[in-house]
Amino acid sequence: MRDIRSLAGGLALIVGVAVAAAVLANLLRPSGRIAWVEDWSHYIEARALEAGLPLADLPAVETIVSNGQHVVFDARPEADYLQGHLPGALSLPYTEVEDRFEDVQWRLTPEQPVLAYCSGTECDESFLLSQFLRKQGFTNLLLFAGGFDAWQKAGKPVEKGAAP
Amino acid sequence: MNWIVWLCRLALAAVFIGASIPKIIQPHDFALAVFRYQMAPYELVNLVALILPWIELTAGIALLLIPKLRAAANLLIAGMLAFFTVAISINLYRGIDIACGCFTVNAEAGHMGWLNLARNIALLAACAFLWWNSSRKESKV
Repeated sequence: MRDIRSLAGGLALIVGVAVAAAVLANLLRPSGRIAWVEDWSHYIEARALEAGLPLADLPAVETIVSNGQHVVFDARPEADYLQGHLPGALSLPYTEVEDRFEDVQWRLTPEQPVLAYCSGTECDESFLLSQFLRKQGFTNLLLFAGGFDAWQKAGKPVEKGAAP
Repeated sequence: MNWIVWLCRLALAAVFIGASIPKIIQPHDFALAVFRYQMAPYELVNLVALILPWIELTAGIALLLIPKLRAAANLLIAGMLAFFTVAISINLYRGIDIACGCFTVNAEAGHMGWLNLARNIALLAACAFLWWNSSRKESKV
């Protein structure tokens, strides 16, 4: 019994010292402390704006999907794409972009309007994919930061399976 | 046997102390790594990123230098390793391809894979060995 008590005491001591040191270190940080609580839900939007990448909100994405002038890229892993994606979207997982890009490149000119999305505000594959496409010379890029989650939550139509 | 015990302690302490330093120096970059794991609620990302590296550091130092706290440090390190192993496994399974955020906070660093898991399991084995060794000694007394 004493063992468990001394073990718990040791755990509390180590964690306590660590938390105190963390608080002190952040208060005294020479390069400016970071926020204790930060809203990461707008992280992707912030990065996109910083990178000069325009954002599309849900109504804008609805218009894009219905008029079909944009190529819509789903940047999530292909398994997620197969389970459901925006109507007309093509699968281009960011994690495999270097192998997969050739498959879609032939359809596109650099001026082709492109919209990219991933699962939602907690993913950045769509942002990274847009950056990759920009490096390939694409000039007309749009990011849907709300991603598949926002689309599905709004009750918009979802397509399943592979692209025709 | 003694030298194996010290080798395990040294390896675990070196890994945890070494891993904590870059995260302590660049907390916001580490917060990004935590965010990209997609596991912590948004409000907790910064707190995790601020506190976790200090627990790694303190536990590493305690394991190496403070005999009275060794058992607790060992348990804490094993707990962290188990947690990291689960987190890495979940993201490997989900196909989320991110940098490990283990020893460097650079998001462009090599992405994590099965090697990270194998390393964690080896370190967990070292923890288990230390635990077994200390309880064996106690039962002899």
